[in-house]
Amino acid sequence: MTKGYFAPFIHSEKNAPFIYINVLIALIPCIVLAVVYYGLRALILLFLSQVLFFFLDFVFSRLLRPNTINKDYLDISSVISGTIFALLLPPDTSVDVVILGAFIGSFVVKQLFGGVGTNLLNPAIAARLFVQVVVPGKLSGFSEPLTDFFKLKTLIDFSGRSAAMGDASSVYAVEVVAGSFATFIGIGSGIAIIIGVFYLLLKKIVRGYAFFGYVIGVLLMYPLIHLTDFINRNGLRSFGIFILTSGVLFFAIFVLGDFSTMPINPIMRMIVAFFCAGLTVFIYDKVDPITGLCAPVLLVNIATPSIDYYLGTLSHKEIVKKKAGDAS
Amino acid sequence: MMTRAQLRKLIIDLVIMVVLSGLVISLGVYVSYGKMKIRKQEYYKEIFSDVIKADSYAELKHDLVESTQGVNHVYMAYDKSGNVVGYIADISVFDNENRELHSYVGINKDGSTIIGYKRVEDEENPILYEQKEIKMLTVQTMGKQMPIALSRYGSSSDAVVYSEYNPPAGLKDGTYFAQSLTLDKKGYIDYVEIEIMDGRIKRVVWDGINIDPTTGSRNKASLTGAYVISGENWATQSYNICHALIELQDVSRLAMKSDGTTEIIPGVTTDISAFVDLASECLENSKAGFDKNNYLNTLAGLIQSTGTDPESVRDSNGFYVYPFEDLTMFKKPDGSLDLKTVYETTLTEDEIEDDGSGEVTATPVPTSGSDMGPEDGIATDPNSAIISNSVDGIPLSEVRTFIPGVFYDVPGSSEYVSTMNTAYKFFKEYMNWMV
Amino acid sequence: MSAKKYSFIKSILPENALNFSRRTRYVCESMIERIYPQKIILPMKQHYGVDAIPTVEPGDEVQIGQCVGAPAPGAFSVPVHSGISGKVTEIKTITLPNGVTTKAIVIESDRKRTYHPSLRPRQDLNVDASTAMGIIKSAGIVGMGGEGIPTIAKINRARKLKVKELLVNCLQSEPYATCDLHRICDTPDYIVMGAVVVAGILGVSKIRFLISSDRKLELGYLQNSIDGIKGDHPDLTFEVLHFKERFPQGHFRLIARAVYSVELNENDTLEESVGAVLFNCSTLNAVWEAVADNMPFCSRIVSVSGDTTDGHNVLVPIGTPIRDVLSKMSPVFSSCRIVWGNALTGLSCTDLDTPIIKTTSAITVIKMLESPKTPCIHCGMCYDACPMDITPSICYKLIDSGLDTKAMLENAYKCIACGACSYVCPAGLDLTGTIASFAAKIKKPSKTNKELSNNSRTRFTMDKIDIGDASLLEAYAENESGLTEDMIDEDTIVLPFEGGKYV
Repeated sequence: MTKGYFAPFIHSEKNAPFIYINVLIALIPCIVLAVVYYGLRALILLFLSQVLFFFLDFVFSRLLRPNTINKDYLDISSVISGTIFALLLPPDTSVDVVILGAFIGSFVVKQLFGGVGTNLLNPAIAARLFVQVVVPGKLSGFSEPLTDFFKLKTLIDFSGRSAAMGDASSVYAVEVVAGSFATFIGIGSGIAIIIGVFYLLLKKIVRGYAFFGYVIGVLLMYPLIHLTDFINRNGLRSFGIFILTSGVLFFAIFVLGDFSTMPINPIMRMIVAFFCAGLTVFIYDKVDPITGLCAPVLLVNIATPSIDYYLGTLSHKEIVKKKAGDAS
Repeated sequence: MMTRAQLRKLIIDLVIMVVLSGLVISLGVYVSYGKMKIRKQEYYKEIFSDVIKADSYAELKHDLVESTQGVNHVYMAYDKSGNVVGYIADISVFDNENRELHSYVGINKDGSTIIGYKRVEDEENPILYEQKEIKMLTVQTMGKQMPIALSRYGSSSDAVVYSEYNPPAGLKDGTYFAQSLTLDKKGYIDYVEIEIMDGRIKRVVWDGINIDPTTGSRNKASLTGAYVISGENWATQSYNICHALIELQDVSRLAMKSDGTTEIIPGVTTDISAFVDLASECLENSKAGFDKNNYLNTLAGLIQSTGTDPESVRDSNGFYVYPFEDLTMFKKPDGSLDLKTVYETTLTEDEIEDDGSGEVTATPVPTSGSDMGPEDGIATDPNSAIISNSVDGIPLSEVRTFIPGVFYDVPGSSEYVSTMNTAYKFFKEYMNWMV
Repeated sequence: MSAKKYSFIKSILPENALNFSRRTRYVCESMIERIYPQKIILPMKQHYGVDAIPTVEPGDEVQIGQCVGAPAPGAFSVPVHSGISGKVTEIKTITLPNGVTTKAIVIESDRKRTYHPSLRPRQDLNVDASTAMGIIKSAGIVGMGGEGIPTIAKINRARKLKVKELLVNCLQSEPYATCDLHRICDTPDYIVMGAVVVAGILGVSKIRFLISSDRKLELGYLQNSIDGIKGDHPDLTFEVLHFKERFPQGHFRLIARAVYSVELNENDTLEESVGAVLFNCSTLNAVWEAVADNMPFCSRIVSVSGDTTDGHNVLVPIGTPIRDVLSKMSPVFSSCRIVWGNALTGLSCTDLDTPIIKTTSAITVIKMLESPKTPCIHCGMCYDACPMDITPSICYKLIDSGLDTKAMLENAYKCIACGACSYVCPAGLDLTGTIASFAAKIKKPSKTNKELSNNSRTRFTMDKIDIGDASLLEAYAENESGLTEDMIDEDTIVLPFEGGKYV
């Protein structure tokens, strides 16, 4: 009898690296879009961010937990974090922002909290919000897409550039769908994100609870909060633009679809995603877009462990009640 | 970590996704690129048609655009057949208080002549730069070659002369002062201070001191928003009327109407009757040699006569903040008030020093324009005539056009000039590069 | 036939339940393949209970259908019959992969198929209940769904509790295992008639067949058979319940939840809670074989399948070594793992002489796959897969860090060791092993029959992981003493196969 092998002897093909690589594949439309629209500098930002997140994770996980870490395992989730972080940057961002973000994301947020699976906050989102708060001046270089494919100067322009974000409400509908206006590298195009959504949901890589919770949250809360616009009949257009261009779809699938920082219970996942969406819609107009999108996510992340913990306690109460009922 | 089957699946998915997203995005680009161009042209037309009329516009990509201070963007304007009609430079110039004059300057295809100008409207700080003044300046510069300087730089003899108006005869040099003896509705005591040099009005200050010492001067209050009037804020209006007086040299030329307003001075909508009265008194005092010290001493004596210690109402700037209740003793036969008469009649033992300078404490000066350097296109200190032989870093010898500017808005004019000269600097380099 | 589809309720997205029907290559159109092995190894204990006693000596000639192991008197034991004719070569002690150590009779084939003279179809099928029970008892029938409880024990128990309904479990949702489904296609009439016999013994009037609606072919066969038979039995109601294809639907707790919307606690049984008794369809087939053909339980269909080979369903004598079964397949590589049972709940086995026993439904050959071991990534897939609404990842963490009380609160004790969570876990954690052994540990051992419960526990001991009663089997331990007495009372009829004498 072979020792050490227990049932089940077959395993779902969806193991962790497979899932993570599939998420990366789902991000490909956004990556392709970023490179096509913003040229080499977007590619370099993406690549640098992925490499840094991965490398810092690799190094710090082995430095901080030399005994418990499975040394053969390459954590692809950090590559995802790096990709998401880079896709949320404005195109004219210098590399020092990426380095800072990668350090915060992989070391402070992820490894100091115990590495993959145990991190409290979503590393990419925490890092993105951190750089937004600390160096906002360096994160305002929005240039028009399809203008200069080989422009690289902005990567080392550490003084920060300023170019206003494109106003999606002033562009044609096809441009809104294609994301062809000045915005963050990878979240402008609704269509690219939706390809990724279909990929993940149809392949059942990511469960749809959080996604649908978030989307339903946006669909319900936006009209509620912008009720006067809707009464004045000009709300529908801005609603569509908000959904397609603000990045809520991107957050719904790639950020709230994250495993480690969301509750395990699917219903709770849906509820917190709904809450997160409501909060985002509520504050989106009052703060900069990144804060509007990221802060509610981090809030939900913080609440997640308590949610996971207290759900068990709640079911315990049910048992006690049931037993008391049986006894009587 | 993964089986071959999984890897094969992943690679197939990867290829499918790359191809699919490539297709979708190329389609998106194909569909939206035309739209984007149309939108861009529409946008350009909307913002540039006032500057240079053309069929299409395109942004000029050049290192000089980024290296030239003040130049945000440069666009090229093309006609139907694709020939360059001219250039449009997007320029921001800041004054010392970091207020921005953001403009589009249209330049002909040689890069030498101004053929269009438009101020960008979206600034938060439009205090000094009214469309009206801009129009006046635009008319002065249209079709002129760059660089530009205000006309006081044109010749040294003309340097100190703001205008061809002559002052009233008999003005004696010195600093003269007059203040109203009663409070206005908001508790301010108006005062006007005029400095005469070479028989001409050199400096005029109009402000009000509040009876409440914790409230700042009317000038300050209007800038902080505590004192609000219709039209431009009070400080600006005060500044404009003072400069208008310097320009016109005579109170009567201010053309005050019976309701206390004037139409000839743009940007001044408030009641200027107090200013006119006090400025007239100052000029009368000047003619009589009744300078600021005398005036203040006389005022102190009057306050003393009402039983109040003048020192107790004297503020930190040396003003006596004291509203008189009974003004009959100051009344001249014709009913007007004149402290000089009081002085003359009561002048007895206390003839104090009247050397006309020494004792005068620092007087508040209007906030704007006071510390403009020569680099801003004008020397604002009226005492220093012409002190620079360059404007905006361009030697005067290079200056091709002198314009009079707007007499009452010298800082605004100089910013306008700076804008043009910034464009000049860029195009000089750019044309050299082109050659 | 747009009948209601039954299923256990799991989460809000139905796709979360495991469905192995696509993974399972199903070969119902093909003939049943038969294997006549050169030698068989008959363990004396192939069920849930007490060992049988060998009645033959080395050197004895035996025939097909001959009893070679008599049940221990007065005990919870069933006889063992030879499936081939030949000579007994030795009686040795072997250890099965499930940890049971028992005597085994090794019989060499004489390359003939000599049937025992008693093996003739019964002439008079009007047997009374006690006769039928005697037949079932002496035919050595045990539950073939994997639980291995002697069928007679189950019948006795159900009679005692006066159940109202007979449930026939035609659900086979384990990966790669299709033997029961094949049995339905092969002899549906035998299954229905077996159900009729058992219904007659129990005195119930309602027979419900539980079958997955995805299995259209089997459904058709079964329905045809019922339509043909129900006319002869006007006193019985036949009903076919359509189920959604899910794993592990066949577990009695999940059936109770799906059909009766009753949540069974750890010690509840179907009989007590809802007045129904559940039999596997293959078991009922064996019942009718015994009653009608006078055929003892000495052969069964085994699925031989896996991800490296085609699927086969072979009819083999009980005791056939795995080696002979595997000979039907494309070559088995050394890199493959052979699983005695199905791939999710079976046991790894390297000895190719390991026999097929009465409860072996499948031999699965799968590639050795090392799934990467990573920390829990908190994905929640185990929660989605768990049919018992446990959150396995949280329980795993709690048990791992010794927080047993909290793990109890998280319902860890409910684990039925179906293996679904370990199957889906992307991090490759041994969730099932950890939680099932925890559940077994906290389950109180039976007071009435300590020996048996200990015995039953060792049956499922593997590699120190003690998954105990918390497996896919129904726990009868606490009622066994009573049952045994009942059995003795009623077990007064002459065993038709005993000693080869037909009465």
